[in-house]
Amino acid sequence: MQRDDLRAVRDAMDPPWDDLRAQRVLRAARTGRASRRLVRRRMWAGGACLAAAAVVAAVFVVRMPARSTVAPAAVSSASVAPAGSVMELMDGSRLAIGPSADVQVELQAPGAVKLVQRAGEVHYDVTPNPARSFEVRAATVRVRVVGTAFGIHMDKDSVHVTVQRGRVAVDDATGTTELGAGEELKRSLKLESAALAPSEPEAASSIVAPRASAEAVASVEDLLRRADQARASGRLDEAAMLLQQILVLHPKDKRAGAVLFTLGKVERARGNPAVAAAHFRACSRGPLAEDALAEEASAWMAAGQTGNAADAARRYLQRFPDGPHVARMRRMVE
Amino acid sequence: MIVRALQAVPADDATLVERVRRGDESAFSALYERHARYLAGVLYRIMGHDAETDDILQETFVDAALQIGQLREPSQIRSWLVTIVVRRAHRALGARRRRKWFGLRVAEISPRCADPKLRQRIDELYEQLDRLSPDMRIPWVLHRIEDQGLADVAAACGVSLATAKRRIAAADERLNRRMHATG
Repeated sequence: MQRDDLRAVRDAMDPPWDDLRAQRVLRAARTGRASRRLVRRRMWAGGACLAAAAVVAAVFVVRMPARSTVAPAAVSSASVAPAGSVMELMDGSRLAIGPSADVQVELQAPGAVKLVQRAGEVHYDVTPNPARSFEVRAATVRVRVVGTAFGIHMDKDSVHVTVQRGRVAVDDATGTTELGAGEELKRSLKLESAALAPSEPEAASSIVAPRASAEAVASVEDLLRRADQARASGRLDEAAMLLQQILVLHPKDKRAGAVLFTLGKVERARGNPAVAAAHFRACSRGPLAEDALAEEASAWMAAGQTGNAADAARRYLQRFPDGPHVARMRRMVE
Repeated sequence: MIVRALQAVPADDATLVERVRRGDESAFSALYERHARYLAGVLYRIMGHDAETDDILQETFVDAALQIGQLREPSQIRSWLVTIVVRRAHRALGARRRRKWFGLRVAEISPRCADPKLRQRIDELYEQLDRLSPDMRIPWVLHRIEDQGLADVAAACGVSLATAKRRIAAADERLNRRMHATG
């Protein structure tokens, strides 16, 4: 065939390609990637199990077999979680890992999950399971949970724990502190000596409770203004922190829904789509419900959680059958 | 409160690759959006039909996501993705040939083509390409239809330049002989 003929072949041989098809393939690629990673981790864990079992068997053979006190081998998958991603653990708990975060899974066993966070911001959505302990160590602070959603933000000077749902126990040099939903604790890593002297006027850690005195607390307007400035300047971490402060300090303010919506947008921009989806969901009952539901579905899709995305899309279609996002929501349900 | 849209500055391929390596999901999506359409076209013209495009393309991006740490030149990611597509297509073509040997036919989706004469030429071409081994078919398609240079074809197929030239020449000879024989 002549060159011109082949060029005509090339022009004619073009596959139909549209947004729907593109999104379908992308979703399948994300699912495939997660499946292959899980298979690799399980193979690694299986290998570790076999190795541990071999050690146990060797001990069994060497010692008297009557009553072995060797505990079942735990699965240790010391894997480093990639920053800026959502990671699902074997027990179904999820980590939304910020772009500059550093977190490592130290142990995953039926009865225990242990992680170490060394930097940045990670949000933990922990599946309830009273038979399994779940703890995160961040410098000298250890957060133990039963089933909850909480965040840890750390830098070289401090560790900041916020709880969105459920309860956590935070261990540090001063002892154990329990936090409930809407509460937070900040632990300075520089003031460790202060923690040993509780009579000192400045505490090494502070808990911000939902009801603080008006004089000590920044106003919603002030926090919103500063959050807007931070967003406009590209300081998204700061913007997120300021918006979260509004929710903690002024949970009953009538603008809470708008704050949650904005926080969702900020988290999307920070590359935390799963966290963003949770915020959009939290404001999907108020005046911003229509856009919040659509944003929730999009955020879940971006996080690779197609089931949650379809669920949010269905809720949108039920409540807003004539809404402006109907076409996009229908594609997510298909 | 005004909700402002944040403007994203388009990043180049090398920057997106680095971000994917750090686990940035949005960078992975951006790379996909940038290159998937092109790869779908290359794949379609290698395979000759659309039945397996989505599956192979999906697996290509899974491979890419898991192996992106091995990419030596992030700015050349498109060429690297073509290499992965070629590897996957090679496997699929081999499986297709084996299915044919056992009398199992794959449902094929013919290319859309308004011109009946061109459609007939395309059908004849791909009927003859189906008789070539994947080793000959793929470099020929990349060079003759995709218009890629010989060095790029060799890199995509993972062979030397001499081998790529030899296989393309052998495919040329067989296709010309068979298509002239069928008139």
